[in-house]
Amino acid sequence: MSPLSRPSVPALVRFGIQVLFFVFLPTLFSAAFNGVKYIVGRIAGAEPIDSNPFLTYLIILVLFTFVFGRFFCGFACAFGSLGDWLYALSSFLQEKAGKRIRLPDKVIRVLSGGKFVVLAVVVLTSYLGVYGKVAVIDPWEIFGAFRYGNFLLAGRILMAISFAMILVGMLLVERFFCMFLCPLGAVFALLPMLPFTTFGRKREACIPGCALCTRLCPAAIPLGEDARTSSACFQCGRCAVRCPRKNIRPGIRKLTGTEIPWTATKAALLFTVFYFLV
Amino acid sequence: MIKKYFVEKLICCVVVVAALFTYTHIMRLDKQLEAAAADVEQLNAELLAANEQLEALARSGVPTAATSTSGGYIDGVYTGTGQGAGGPVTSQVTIENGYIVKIDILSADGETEDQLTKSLAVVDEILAQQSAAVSPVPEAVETSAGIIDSVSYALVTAVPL
Repeated sequence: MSPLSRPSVPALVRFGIQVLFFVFLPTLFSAAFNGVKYIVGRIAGAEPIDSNPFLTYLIILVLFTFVFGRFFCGFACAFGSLGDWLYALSSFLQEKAGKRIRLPDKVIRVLSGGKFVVLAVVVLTSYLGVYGKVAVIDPWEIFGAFRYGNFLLAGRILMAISFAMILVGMLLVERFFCMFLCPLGAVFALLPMLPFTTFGRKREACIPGCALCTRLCPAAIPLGEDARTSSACFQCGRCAVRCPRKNIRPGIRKLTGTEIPWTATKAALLFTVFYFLV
Repeated sequence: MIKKYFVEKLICCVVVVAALFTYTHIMRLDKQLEAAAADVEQLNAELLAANEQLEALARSGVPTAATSTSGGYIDGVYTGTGQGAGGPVTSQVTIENGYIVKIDILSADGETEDQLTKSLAVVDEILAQQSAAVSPVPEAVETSAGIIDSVSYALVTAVPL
């Protein structure tokens, strides 16, 4: 195995945390997004926005993301984790076959707008009361069913096809769903995120011609941007771990951003709030 | 540089959240208004029903507060009996325009002249107070109490429904 594909300790820690959330809190993504649909639904019905458990999930996640960036995406989202694991498998197979499938950056950038389209479609159809028509291709329901051991596809063929297509996408492109389709990701992309805890890239100190970070980045964040300017960063830390000059760090000077206690604290905070408090 | 778009996004978020709060507040007020309007309608309906009931009673001849105007009592002549010092005392109460206008002692056989004279003060008092809730005369307690009771009994059916 080349040095680049040997998993680092932080990567293993991340894998462990992803498994934890996948097993114990697999529905965070849909719960939070249901909060969005709830708000739209209430406005559509000219009703006040009362307290609602999904709304609570959404608010907590939004606040967490404001402080820590899209850590949720990188560590706690079941769909994101699924994408990571499928792509790891695909990567392994690609290496064995000696081929490498990679989308050009321009294509990635254009397709990244897709999640905003998905968000707009969901919001609009919810507002107009016709969300049911779109819901038939919602892959999340099938994923949820599989995750809980229910493999009956009766009456959910369209959903299953949609899910299957997404799985193929996840095999071909790293974080396919997250980058191109995730409406919650679109919501996060619109949020402000504090610079103190999110990764920033110091280009001045880079080795000329080195582009390791951007090549490793699952969100394909270009060299000119970083976590604070791109909003696509999942805080996975791969760039920070591998950078030969350690140029990628959070705003808090003392941190490298990849320390295990730091990562573990963020994960513990997120897990505790959702598992015990909500 | 670090804060590219951070401030703009923050301002947008604050505006959006403020808008949602305002929206919810307005909708809650709206709901309260609707509820209050519904209450008013309900009360109106009840009022209409009660009025109709009243009119029906009036038409059928049963005396009601509506037909006795001012005073509060139902017009008519009523009798009642109470227990005096030496026997029953019967009085007759006349109500006109809702007011007690006259109280006649029809019979007070067991009372002495003296007791009766001293008791007549309660009659004036009842007329003044327009109520039988007056105190007996200390010098002729039982006789005056008997007169008060008899007026009370007479007024039982004079009080509107």
